[in-house]
Amino acid sequence: MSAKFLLPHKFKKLGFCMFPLGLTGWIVAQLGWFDKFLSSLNFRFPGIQIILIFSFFTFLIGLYFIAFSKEKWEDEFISKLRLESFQFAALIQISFFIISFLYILVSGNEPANDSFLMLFFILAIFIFWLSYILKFNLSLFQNKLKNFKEGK
Amino acid sequence: MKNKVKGVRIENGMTQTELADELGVSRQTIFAIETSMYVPSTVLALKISRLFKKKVEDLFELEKKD
Repeated sequence: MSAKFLLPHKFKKLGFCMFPLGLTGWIVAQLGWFDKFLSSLNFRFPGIQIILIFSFFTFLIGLYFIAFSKEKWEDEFISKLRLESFQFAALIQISFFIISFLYILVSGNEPANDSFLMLFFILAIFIFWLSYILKFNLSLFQNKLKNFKEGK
Repeated sequence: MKNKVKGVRIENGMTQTELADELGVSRQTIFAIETSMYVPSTVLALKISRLFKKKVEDLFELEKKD
């Protein structure tokens, strides 16, 4: 991937803070725990939707920062790892689609409604980006670990 | 592709970090090249050979599987 599309390295740390915070906030808001907590304090908060939107965007932007931040040394080896990770993520996503459609075909359980289908496609998108982030960071970590062991 | 980068680097009394700094790449990249996990680009291979004042063929060697 061309480095001109990448953000400075400091955004990666920011992403790693925003991503879990946003995800946790979104899950907590979805489960209605904010409502329960605020009502236990006899406080009516009118904008639970605002919390949902805010936390989801924090999660999304965190994901973007992690995936598109430069490493300290963004060189050709890192570019190769990025390319391999993209290929791996694409393979995982296409496997997810094939397995899902095969499941629908074999079991006959069609998506109940449009919102279910929407959720399915959103999940497919996140599977791609999460696989990419996992594969890329794991490859970097493995390489560092091998180098460390060799250096001992 | 086999290479003799590690041997030549040690002969020249350089650490991986020093070589990485000279070439403008990361230490991870030098390690990956030395362990044949990564085949460098033509530009990087030429930079390495120029730094050690050797021919590219003296540092990098094709294997049968290549």
